[in-house]
Amino acid sequence: MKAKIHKFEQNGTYILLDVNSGAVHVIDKMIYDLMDTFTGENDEETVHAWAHAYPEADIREALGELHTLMEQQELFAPDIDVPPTFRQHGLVKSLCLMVAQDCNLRCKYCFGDGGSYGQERAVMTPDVGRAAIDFLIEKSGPRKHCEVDFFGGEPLMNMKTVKAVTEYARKKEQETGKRFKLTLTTNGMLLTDENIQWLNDHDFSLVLSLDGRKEVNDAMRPDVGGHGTYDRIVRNFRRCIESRKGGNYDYRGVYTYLRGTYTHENLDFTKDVLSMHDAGFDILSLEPVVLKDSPYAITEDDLPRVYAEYDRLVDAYMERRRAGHGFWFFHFNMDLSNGPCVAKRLSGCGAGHEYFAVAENGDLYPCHQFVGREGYRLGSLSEGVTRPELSQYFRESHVLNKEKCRDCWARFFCSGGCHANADLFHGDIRQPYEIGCAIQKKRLECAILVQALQTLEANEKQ
Amino acid sequence: MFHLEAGKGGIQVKHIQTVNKPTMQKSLKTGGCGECQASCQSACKTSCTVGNQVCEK
Repeated sequence: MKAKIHKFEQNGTYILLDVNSGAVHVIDKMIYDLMDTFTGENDEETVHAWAHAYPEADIREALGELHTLMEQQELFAPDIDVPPTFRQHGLVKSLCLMVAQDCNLRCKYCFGDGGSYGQERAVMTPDVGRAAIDFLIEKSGPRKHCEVDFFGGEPLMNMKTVKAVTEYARKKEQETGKRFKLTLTTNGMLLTDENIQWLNDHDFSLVLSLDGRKEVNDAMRPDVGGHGTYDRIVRNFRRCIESRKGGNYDYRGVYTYLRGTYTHENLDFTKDVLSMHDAGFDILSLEPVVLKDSPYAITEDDLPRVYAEYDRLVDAYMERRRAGHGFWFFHFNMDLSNGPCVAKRLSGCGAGHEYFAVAENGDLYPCHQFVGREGYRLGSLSEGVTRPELSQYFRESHVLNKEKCRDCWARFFCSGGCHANADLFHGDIRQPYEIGCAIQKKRLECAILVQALQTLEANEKQ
Repeated sequence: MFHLEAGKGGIQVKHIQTVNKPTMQKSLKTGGCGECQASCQSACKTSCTVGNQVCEK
């Protein structure tokens, strides 16, 4: 049965989410209990079921409030089907360029086999990169805003192509009216003053990779020679962040994120998030590793510990915000009132229909994580998309077409999870990776709670 | 029970406080411009969390 509501208690706060409207209600314990019985049209049954626990007058008063929410379509809102605003075919608007399928680190959990993605180590030529821009201009049709992420491996190992493609994209903006948002994801080893200045001058958003505490980072992110990297990386990241202060750098526009990965080895990852904040960085992201058959993988047995750790992270996050020195945590950001439209929630990450990865040789894949999985090669820049049926399959693999997703309360927040992870574990992009789902749902509860607490506390101040 | 009795359409609300003005149902008719950021293109390069995105309209 399709979940219409989701309720949860965390850190003493009771929350009720109306799945089909996105309304979030902070409720008391009585409403929390009543919602075990109340379906919207069984008042007498609800009164009878809870008469042993609450005075009848209080129950009827609470039911009155619930009916008011229903009238406002903020409780048991109508089911959502695929709307006409969801285009039948996707328009490509984002590319991930694998400018260097090579890397100067050997992270132990790397999904790209040390940058090579199971292929020969190689870098993208400027010609391939420029052809990718032309492809994006053509395939994005009327859309104005396009995105290019320079990725790897380590993209700063191929600055020649990064610079050539950037110059070409900026020139094409003038000619076509498109706007290219440029992002670069780097491990920081080559983030010299010269590179920082160039990236700043060209309005690059940056995703900087660090795993938190020095001992955690150095155990997982050694260089090619097996040496720790924390000191070198953090020194470069600090100079980079310092150079960006006072500019137009926020989390929506040109942003500078620190992102990390936690594994089975550091399930006390709140310490890693706080370590990054203490090191001077305040726009942060930390994600669970996704690995199969590895000692670093998160297992089902780890989940209770992971859940408890997110509770700790919420406490620490709120405590620092209340004390006036908070930080942004990407996974707790959520715009509850002006979030994505339903068409976007169905499009999800867009892999394979709105978002492609371009391998160093110009081959096209649904996203960066699919590079090297030959069954998912979609075509190439020179041939175009040679497997439109596969692209369309990605387009139609949204939450309303996936058995395990269509009934789940989180369907319009996670949008079905990561296709690459589903393929890794089940060989089928329509069968979500269960541990990823479990952690995602916990993170969403935390995000909803954080947003609710911030709103209530702001109201109380007023 | 909440101490605050937040007014909602003139009705005294004791048990529930709604914290947002959701637009998801309305967006069934108005959304789909596609000008927003790809959700995996940002800080979560190993997952997809569209709920963390914002509408650019």
